[in-house]
Amino acid sequence: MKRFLRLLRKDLQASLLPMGFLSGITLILMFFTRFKISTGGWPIEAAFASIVMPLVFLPLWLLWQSFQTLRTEWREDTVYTLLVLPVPGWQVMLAKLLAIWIEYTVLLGVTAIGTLLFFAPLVQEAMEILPSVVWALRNGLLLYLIGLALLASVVIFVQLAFVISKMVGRVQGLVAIWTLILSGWLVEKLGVLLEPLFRWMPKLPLHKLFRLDELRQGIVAEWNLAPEMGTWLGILAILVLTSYLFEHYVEVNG
Amino acid sequence: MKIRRMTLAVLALLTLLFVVDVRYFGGDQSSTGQPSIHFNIGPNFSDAAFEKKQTFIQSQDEFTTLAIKGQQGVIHLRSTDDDEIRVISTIGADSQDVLDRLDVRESISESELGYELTGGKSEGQSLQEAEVSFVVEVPAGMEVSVEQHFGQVKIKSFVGFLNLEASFSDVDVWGLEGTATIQNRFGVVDLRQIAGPITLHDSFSTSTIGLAAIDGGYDFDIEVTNGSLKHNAGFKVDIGENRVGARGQWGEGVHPVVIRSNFSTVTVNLDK
Amino acid sequence: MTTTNQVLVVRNLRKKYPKVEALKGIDLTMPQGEIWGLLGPNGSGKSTLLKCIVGLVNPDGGDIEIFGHSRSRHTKAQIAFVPEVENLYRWMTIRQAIDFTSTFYDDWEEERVPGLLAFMGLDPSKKVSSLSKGMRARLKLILALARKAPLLLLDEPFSGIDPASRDRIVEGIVRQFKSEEQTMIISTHAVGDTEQLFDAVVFLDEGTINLQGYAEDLRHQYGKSINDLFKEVFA
Repeated sequence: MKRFLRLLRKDLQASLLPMGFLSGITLILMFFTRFKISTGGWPIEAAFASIVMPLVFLPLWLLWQSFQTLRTEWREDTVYTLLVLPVPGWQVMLAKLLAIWIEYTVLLGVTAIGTLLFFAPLVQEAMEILPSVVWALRNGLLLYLIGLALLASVVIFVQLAFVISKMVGRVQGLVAIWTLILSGWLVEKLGVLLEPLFRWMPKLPLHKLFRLDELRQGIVAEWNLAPEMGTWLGILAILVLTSYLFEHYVEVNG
Repeated sequence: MKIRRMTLAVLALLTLLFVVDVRYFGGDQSSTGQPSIHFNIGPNFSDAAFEKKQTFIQSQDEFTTLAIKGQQGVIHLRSTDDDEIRVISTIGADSQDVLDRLDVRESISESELGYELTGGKSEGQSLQEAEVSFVVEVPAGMEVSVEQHFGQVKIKSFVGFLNLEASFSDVDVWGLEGTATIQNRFGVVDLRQIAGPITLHDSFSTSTIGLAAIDGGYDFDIEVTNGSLKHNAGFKVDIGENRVGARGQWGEGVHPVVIRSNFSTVTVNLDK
Repeated sequence: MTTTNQVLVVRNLRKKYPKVEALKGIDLTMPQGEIWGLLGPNGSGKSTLLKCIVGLVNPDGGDIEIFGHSRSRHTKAQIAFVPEVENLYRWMTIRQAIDFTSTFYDDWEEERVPGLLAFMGLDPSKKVSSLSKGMRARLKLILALARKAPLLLLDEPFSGIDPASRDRIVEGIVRQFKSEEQTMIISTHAVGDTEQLFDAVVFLDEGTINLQGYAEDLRHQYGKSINDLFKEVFA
């Protein structure tokens, strides 16, 4: 555990600079938007844009970061340190995944703080529309957890793509992209193939989970989990495979 | 080299399978009929599978006020020259089972006549699984209260007193003689040919108010916080911290135009 | 199977990169308690051999046994490897780099660190990125020597290092090496005054062993210093 935490700390420390930069940019953007709206320079829609923009950009940046965190190890030759450590590959991969999760959480937090700080009246108005603060917090938490799961799945694909590209050696960029496509297709197929095994699973009533009836919107949303289970098992298998390949077969640049 | 060759071989094999899948099975999951991610978001009311119409006709007599509550449908309202109140409601649902449990209820309370959707909750059925639309014709001069959420309101050639409360809705008014009080959130309000006093409270909306040139003129009292204001009434806009205000008269300033807006874009067009 | 005092056994080791065959069947048996010099010009396969032993590259054929075991996480824990490249995290301070490395090895001897830092003339509060190449080489050596690792692999530890740093590194190695517990391989293409370090030498050229033997025997047999022999072999 001590070793895993040390790896995690290392990955977090390595991303302190870009994290600080992104947090600063987000807050400055919100402050500037607030200023422009206050002086009548920008329409009110800009407030939504300045909140939504970091939220849209955030996953994209984190995906890039999940690729970059591995690429930097090779580019800066620190992989020589990483690969000789007597730790299982899954600890290295999981530490990087967890670091991305923490970065995601921090940047979401910064966006939330910025929203409260610069657009408090907007939040207040939104709260009047929404059924209750508890409802908003509960759904926010659920969305955050779903976000974590989706982010994890994509990060796991990216990690596999990178490790495979390093094993092939040549045209690494193309191999990484192709691996990403193939692995996505493969787990999707796995979901389809294993779907009959999980038909016993009840549909997840999202409208109840999110208590959408309190919104008075008439949304009935159900999530058929059967095809999802095989996909998620496939993603888990990819994490195990990537960890194994990283520990046993991946090489430093020749 | 051995590992490299093996990795390339596995990639090549998967590529072959991928190509076969895309070429011969279209790459989708149609083989099982189950998509990987399956969401049922419904019902889609715009083309609801099951509909029920009800018509209500009342003589105006002692009624001074008509109250209409709608959801997710369209409310059409216009004034007529006769003395009958005509309300045609259409309930839409995605199943007959839901539809059977729903009705538009007529309520009479002293001088107020009201119509709203009922029935779902008492039967354990959520009202949110249905929509209701109204076509309303009222005698000129009557007071009408309209409440609409997640839908549309279309008012044409209305004469009387209008109280409108809307959220997440599009409101279109073309021709209104009388008094209008409008509360709107998260929507688009487009008012044209308004002749008379108007009070508008809106937030997170885009509102356009077209005022007709009438005798007596208008007295403007406009306050927009955290938003923007455009007008052609000719007087100055007062810009403060987080707010834009406008006060002034056009003509004799008889008819008040009061606008309180928050996080919205407001445009006032005056026909001069 | 290795005998108890055989630290490293390499049999018919082969490694091919896309454009070059780096190792063409290397055989080595290394007893405990010695310092071996792995000598050869650039591109002779020295680094690849060490990387194969430590697990940074995978051989295409042959066997490697470290204390009688195939390469694994367990053997990684027994090897202290100093690569030729700059493998340190540049944003870390020297202290952070030491703390980071120490977490992963049970044979870490923290009490040796202050002495090593003082001897190598390094300030632990300094950032790795602010160090000169010589200072970074000294830090890499500290990270290896602060461990009581049974097998130390030093890949070109003197490459591109100023004479002052080189002398200090050589002295550091001599001081810290415990012959009763440790075994060391130093790869270099510049023999010079490091010759006195080696108990035995292996001359590697284009992936094959040219010459191998105990330094004293070779000096006696050829009537030359190892440095002169090196120059003659690779002229």
